[in-house]
Amino acid sequence: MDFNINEVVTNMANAIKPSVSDNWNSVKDDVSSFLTDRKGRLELLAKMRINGRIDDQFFKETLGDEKDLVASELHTLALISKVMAQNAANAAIQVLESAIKVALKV
Amino acid sequence: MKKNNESIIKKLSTLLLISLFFISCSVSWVPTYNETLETQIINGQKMTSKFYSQMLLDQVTNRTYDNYKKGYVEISTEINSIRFQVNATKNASLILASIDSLGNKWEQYQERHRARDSNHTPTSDDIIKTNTNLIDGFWKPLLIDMRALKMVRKKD
Repeated sequence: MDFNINEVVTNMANAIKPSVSDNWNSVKDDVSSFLTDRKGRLELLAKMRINGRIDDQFFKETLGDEKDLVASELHTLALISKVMAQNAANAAIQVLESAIKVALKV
Repeated sequence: MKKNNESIIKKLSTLLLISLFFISCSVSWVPTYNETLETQIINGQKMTSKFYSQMLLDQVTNRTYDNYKKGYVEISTEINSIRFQVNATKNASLILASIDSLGNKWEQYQERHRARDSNHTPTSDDIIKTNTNLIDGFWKPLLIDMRALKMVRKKD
């Protein structure tokens, strides 16, 4: 049986790295758009309040809505993290599985 | 010959056991991507966008809750339908939390519209634009959730 645990563990780690970075590159722009969208909305809101186009009640309600929205965006970040962790774990498991198959010469 | 057969059987049994071990070992922490659900989320966002665009075109005096009640109900129904589908999926708690935030906000917007009517406060263009931007903001995490689920690695 040809099975070198040090080599397998290194290969498992190498399988995790590209999986995480590829996934992060795919959603990076979406996630940063949360911040740019918020900046635009708050800028407009402040302008409307300063110019007296909206009253204090609406201003405060909208700020509260922004807080609720942050919570929703954080749930999305948590989901993305879970997807990345799942992909990384499964990539590593697959490397180990292949190594064992080779060792068994199947 | 007999020894050779025993060795093959031993190897196959080991492989079977290992395969079973790895089938159970591959992890699954997020729901499976659902194209129908993604389409429904995109349509839901379009419905709210159309709802507010129509309100914006209407005269301020016509922007009463009663005139827009039907639209509020249609969008609530769409959100509930999305929630129903997600709720039937495994590992969907994070997506459900975002749908609940959207659903609660939509209910609040209805309440606020009714309250403005009661206080004789007009629903101005500025209020409509602010609400449009915010509701879009609540749809967006759901859309990104779907994109994230598309990245889930399939077992080779």
